[in-house]
Amino acid sequence: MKTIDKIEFQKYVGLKNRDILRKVLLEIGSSEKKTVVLGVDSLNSGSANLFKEKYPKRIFDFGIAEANMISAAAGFSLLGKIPIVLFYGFLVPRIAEQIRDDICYNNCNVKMITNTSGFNLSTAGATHHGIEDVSILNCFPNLTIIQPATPKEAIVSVFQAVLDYKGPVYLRLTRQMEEEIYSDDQIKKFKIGKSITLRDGNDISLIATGKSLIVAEKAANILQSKGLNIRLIDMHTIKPIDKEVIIKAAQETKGIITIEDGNLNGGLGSTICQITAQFAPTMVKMIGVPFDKFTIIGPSEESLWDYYGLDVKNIELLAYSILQC
Amino acid sequence: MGSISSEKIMKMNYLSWESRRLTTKIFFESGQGGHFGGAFSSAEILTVLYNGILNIDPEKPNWKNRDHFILSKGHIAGIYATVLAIKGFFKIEKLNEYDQLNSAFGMHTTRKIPGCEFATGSLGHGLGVGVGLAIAKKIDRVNSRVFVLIGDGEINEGSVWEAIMSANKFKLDNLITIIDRNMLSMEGFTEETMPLEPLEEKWRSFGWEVAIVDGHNVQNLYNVLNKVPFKRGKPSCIIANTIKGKGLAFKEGVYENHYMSMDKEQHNLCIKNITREMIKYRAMKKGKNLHENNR
Repeated sequence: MKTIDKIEFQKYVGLKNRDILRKVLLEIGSSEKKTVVLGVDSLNSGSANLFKEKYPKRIFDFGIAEANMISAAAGFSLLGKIPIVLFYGFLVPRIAEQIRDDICYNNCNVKMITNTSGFNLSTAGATHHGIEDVSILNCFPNLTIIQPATPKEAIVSVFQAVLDYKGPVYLRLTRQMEEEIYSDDQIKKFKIGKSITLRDGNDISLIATGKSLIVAEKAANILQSKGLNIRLIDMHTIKPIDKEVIIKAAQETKGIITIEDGNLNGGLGSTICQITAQFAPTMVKMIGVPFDKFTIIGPSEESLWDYYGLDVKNIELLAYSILQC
Repeated sequence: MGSISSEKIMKMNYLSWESRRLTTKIFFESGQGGHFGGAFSSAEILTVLYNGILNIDPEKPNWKNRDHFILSKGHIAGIYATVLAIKGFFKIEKLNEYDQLNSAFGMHTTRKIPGCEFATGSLGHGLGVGVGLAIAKKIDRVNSRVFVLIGDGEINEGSVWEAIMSANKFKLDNLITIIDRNMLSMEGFTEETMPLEPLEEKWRSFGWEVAIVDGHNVQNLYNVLNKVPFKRGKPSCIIANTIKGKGLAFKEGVYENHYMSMDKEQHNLCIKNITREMIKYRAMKKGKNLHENNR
C-alpha cells in the first residue's frame, strides 16, 4: 500500500494551521524511524513539539545557528537518516550556500520545511517576510520545491516528500491554512511534480501555488458566474515545474494569470514566463510581490495580500485586460 | 589500535612525499597550476589518516561501520585524490583526468571521486557535516569515528564556530577535527588577516579537548591521532603545526604559494627535491629492514 493511501484524514479533522504539521510530523516519526528532526531554537514554533515529546532522542536543537544545522542535516543523511529541517522561510538567503553546496550539490535526502512563509509575520517587516526563498532556491539543481494550498494538500505533500521521495525538498507551508477545496479522493491523486487542474476552461488560465490557490478559486467562481470559462491550475510543485500543463494552458486559453505570495523575480510567474516565451508565447500577467522594492509592514497578513494585489479583484481586472487584448 | 612499526612510519613518510610528487605532476600537466601551499602542508596529515588511522576498506567503500573523513578545506582536492589513489580507491592513472572536462578530479572535491564521502569547496562547511554524521553514528550506536580536516584560515568562518559549539553540546567524542595550522591564508599571515590566537584556548573554552602536534612528523601525528578521543564525552581537536607549501624547493612557507603555477624549471626543481626525500625514506626503510634482519 502506498503511503498516500495510508493517510487517515479523519485524524486531522478540526486541526488547522501549524497543528496540522505537528500531527503530521508525529505520524511520520512513528512510521519511519530513520527520520530525525532538526531545528534552530524553533522546534516548537516549527511544529515539532509532539515529535519531541514522543521521540526525544531523534530531535536536535542547533540553537540560533542555521548554517550549521543545514550542514549537519547533510551529515545525518550520509548515514541514511532522513532529516526534517525546520526553519523560517525568511532565513533562506542566509543559508543559501549551505543548501546549495551541502544539500543540493551532494544530493542529500534532506527535507526542509518552513511553516512560516510569505507575509505570515506581517508586522515583523521586510527582514521577516519570506519573500525571496523560492526565487533563490529555484536555481539550485536537484532540489524540489513544493508549496501546498490546503490542509489536505499539506498533509499529503509532507508525507510524500519525506517517505516516498528521495532527494532534497523544500516544503513551503504557511501559518494560516484553513480552507479546504479537496476531497479525500481528489487529494489521493496528488503527485509531486504533477500539477492539479481543478477546472478546464478555455478563456483564461489561473495558475496558483500555495494559499493563493484559494484566492484564485474564488476569482474563478466569480468569473465563471460572469460567463467566462476559467482553467484553474494548482501548481503545488514549483520545481520541477509541470511544463506540459503550462504549454497546454498557453495554447488552449487566451492568456495566463499567475498568483504567488513571493517575489515575482524568479518565482512561479517568472518560471511560467520562461516556459511560455520559449515554447508557447502568450500573454502572462503575474501577481505577487514586485521586485526591487522591500516589502512594507502590515497589521495583518491579509492587509499585505491586499496591498500587493493578491486578491480576487486584481485577478478579475487582469482577466478582462487579457480578453481585451 | 596499537603501536606501529618504524617500517610503517617510514612508509607513510615515503607516501607523503609520493602524494606531493603526484600532486605536482597533475598540477603541472593540467597547465592550470594548483593549491600547492595547502596541499603540501596537509600531505602527512592525509597520508597518516588514510594509511594508519582510518578504519576503511577501499574494496568496500560503503561499509557501514567505516570511519568517515570529510575534507573541509576542499581546495586541496588534488592531493586528496592522490592519497585516495595510493590507498587503492582507484588506479593512479585516473589522476591524468585532473582538470579535464567533466572530470571527477579538479580544484575542489566532487562526489565522483571514488572514496570521497562529501563534496566540498566553499569554506566553513565540513565541520558542520561532521557534526551531523557524528550524531547519526551515536543514534545508530555505530562505534566508528568522523575525522574532519579544516584549514586555519577557514576558522574565520562563523559557521565553523557554530559547529564547534554544537559538537560540545552533543558531546561528540566520535568527532575529531584536525586543523592544518600553516599560519597562512590566501593573502597573508592568519594573525594579520584575522587573528585566531590563542587558538588552543579558544577550542578548549568551547568544550573541546585539544592536542598540538608537528603536522609533518608522521610518528607524532600517528601517536596523537591514535589516542582519540582524548576524553570521553568530548570532541577532539588536533592543531597540526605545518609549513605552507612544505617541500616546495623554491617557495616554502610563504602565502604566495597558496595557488600557483610552475614553469618547467621550477617543476624540475620541485620534483628533484621531492624525489630526494622519497629516496631518503626508502633508504631509511630498507636500512631499518637490514638493521632488523641483522639482529
